[in-house]
Amino acid sequence: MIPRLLMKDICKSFPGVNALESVNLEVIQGEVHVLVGENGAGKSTLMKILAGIYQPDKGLIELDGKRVSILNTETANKLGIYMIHQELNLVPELSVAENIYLGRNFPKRRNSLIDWKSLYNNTGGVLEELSLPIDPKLKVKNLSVAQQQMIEIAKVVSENEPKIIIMDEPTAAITEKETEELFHQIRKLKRKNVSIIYISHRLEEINLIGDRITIMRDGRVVGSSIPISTIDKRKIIQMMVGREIDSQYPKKVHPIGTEILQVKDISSTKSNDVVSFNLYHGEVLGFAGLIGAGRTELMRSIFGADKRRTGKLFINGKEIKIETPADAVKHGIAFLTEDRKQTGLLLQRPVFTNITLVGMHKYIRHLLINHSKEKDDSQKYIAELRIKTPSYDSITSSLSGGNQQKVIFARWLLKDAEILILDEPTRGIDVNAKAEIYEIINDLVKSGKAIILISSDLPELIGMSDRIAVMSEGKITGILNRGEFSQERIMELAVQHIKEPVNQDNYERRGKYERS
Amino acid sequence: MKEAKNASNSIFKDIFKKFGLFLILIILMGIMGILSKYFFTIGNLLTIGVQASVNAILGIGMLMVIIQGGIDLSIGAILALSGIVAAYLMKSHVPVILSLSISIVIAGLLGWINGFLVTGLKLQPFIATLGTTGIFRGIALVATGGLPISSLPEQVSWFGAGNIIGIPVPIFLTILIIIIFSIILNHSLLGRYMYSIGSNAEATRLCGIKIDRYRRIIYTIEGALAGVAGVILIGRLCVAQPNAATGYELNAIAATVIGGTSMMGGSGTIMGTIIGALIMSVLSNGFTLLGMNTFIQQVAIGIVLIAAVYFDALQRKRQ
Repeated sequence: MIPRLLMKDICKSFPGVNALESVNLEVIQGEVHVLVGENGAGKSTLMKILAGIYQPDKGLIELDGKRVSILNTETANKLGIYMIHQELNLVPELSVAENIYLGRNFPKRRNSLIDWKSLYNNTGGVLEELSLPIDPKLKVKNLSVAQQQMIEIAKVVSENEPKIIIMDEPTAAITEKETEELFHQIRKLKRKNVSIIYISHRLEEINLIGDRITIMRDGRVVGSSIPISTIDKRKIIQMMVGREIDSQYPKKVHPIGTEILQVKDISSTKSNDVVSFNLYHGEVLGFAGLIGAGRTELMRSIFGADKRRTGKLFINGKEIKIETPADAVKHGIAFLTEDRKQTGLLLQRPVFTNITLVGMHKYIRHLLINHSKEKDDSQKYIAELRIKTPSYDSITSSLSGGNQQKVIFARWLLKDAEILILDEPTRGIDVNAKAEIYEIINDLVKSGKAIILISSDLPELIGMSDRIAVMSEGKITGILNRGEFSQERIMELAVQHIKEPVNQDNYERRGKYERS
Repeated sequence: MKEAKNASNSIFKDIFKKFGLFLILIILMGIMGILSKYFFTIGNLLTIGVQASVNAILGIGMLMVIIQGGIDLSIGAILALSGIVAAYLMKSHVPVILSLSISIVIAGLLGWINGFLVTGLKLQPFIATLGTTGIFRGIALVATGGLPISSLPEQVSWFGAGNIIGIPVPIFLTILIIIIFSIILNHSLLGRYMYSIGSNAEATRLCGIKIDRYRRIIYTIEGALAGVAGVILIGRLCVAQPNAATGYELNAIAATVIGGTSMMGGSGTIMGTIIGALIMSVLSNGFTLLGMNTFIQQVAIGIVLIAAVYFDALQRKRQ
């Protein structure tokens, strides 16, 4: 049988790096072809070549046995190749219908003005076909990330006969429930003979959805079109990193110390529900919940990032006032936000300024900065956390996601924070860097620090936490000890208050939570 | 072989990036020198320096505000209003030095008001300072009835035309300010936070840094610098005018932007801004020497501004 897609001997180099060296990829009709590899392995480059964003230096591409040249995104689309990027390409201020029709002909009335009625009707039809309960008139900014993803899919499906859809980490920012919905849509596409190229870091989910897998490392293919049923997770990781990793979650259990933080009846500004919990020295307290459960909001209000309405905070038994992040930092609390690019890093500044930002006062002598001491300390942390950077003063945006995250860890280690709130610390980070971040977490709790770990990756949460608090709709619905952990139990608690999870109202409300 | 070529290429780029603006200034001066024999006389060069000093001082203030992610349209109005205050004080026989010092403090307070509007009331800096421009300028006009205040005490002219060890006072003051603010921007906590806030205000705030406080300090310093520029202007003319420095805020913005500052905040240097101010003064001085229509100067400065920003954007893209 002629494969749907054949990419042969693809080479691509950028100044200084060979991104791809003679890469082959074969995708057949109606399969979900999983593509994995660490960050920088060349997956994105390969897919950008397929989608017409980059041109290969060498190699050929065949579609249904015919040689094609894909000059730009437009030609790719004409050939039936679509890419759904991790950062979704929708216009937040426009409606669902407008987004779906953007880039092609809007239905027009005779006087050549837009025919809004058929625009909404047509869109409604498209959404219905996908059984998506979304109002075509809604502005996209009011939708949840998962819903926006569905709109991207709807856009592709309604536009043309798609042959290949590339999905770049589609589940990175959505909940398990929403993932199921996504898989449902993917299966529907398969039935229509659409081939899906599926990029993901989440190895747990790929055997649920994938048919075959291609594994990349350092710009080469190290495992080609292996049927997923014949390979296990361990083997995949081993091929990705080129060595064996003993355990994905190297959790070391330490004796738990005395109470460090007591949170009493805290409410965030966005909900009236109050939350109480305790945190102990040397403990990792996990926070589980669906997106929109209010975990981030709760942490922001503890940290003073948003104004708090009610509640009390005690550190080592003493009541403290936290009105602003400055107060929180003064009391030894650190907050590593979920979106390190938007709210964590100064991307255009050198690495060392990001490391010393919180602890800058240490380097002031006679009103001036002691640059050499600042440099020494930065280099010490770069070495200690094995941050891969050309130099201590390289621009931070040039680092990979995992190394950027380590820069933020360095910042708070330098400040010697006692309580670290980590919000999705491993999102979008490759396997190796993840393991290193788990090491950092282990070292921190070993030295008696306390950690609050928010994660949507349940295996990670179960692997790394001493206790797990589960939140639903702004409340803690249960706190589990390490012996009681199971994915089923956590999910049960996570949906406890939600009556009808797929109900339209609920969907919208959750969508709004998440944005606000 | 290829790598060596690449390396030498990037070294050339680095040199151009560091000194490119300076080269443009030198080339411009060379052209002017060829076209007019008078251009390279000591007297004319000092004139250029004195002319550039007001733009340079206002430019440094503007630079700081832009670095931290804002803009200030009101510095011309601050300059005028604080100048009027100084003139009234001198007319009421307050000692010259004291009057001028008070006017600088007033200018700082006016700057603080801008800072408060931006941080306390969370107004867009563009809008807030557009509003205060009207208010400050309006108060100056109402207080004077729109007329200049002249016959100020003799001593005041020292600030515009006097000398310190042979250097004209405006140039001396500007050099002093360049040194002080180079230290602030590169070696102080305020400088570090300025760049941090401009790069990512929310990230900086979540690091426990009181960004609003630093923002107000920056607007206050900027206002005070406008006050200093006002002192030089009064000194040069021996007159305080409610209409003084109209449009100077745009010159200050132009100087910073020609100097490679990004309007997005988070970057910019004093040296760039000074060279930007000098390029503008050289152009205007050269055109005057050549007896060309003064209005043409505006066209030329406009072209230089657009070219500078374009090449800056081009360079960024290449990176």
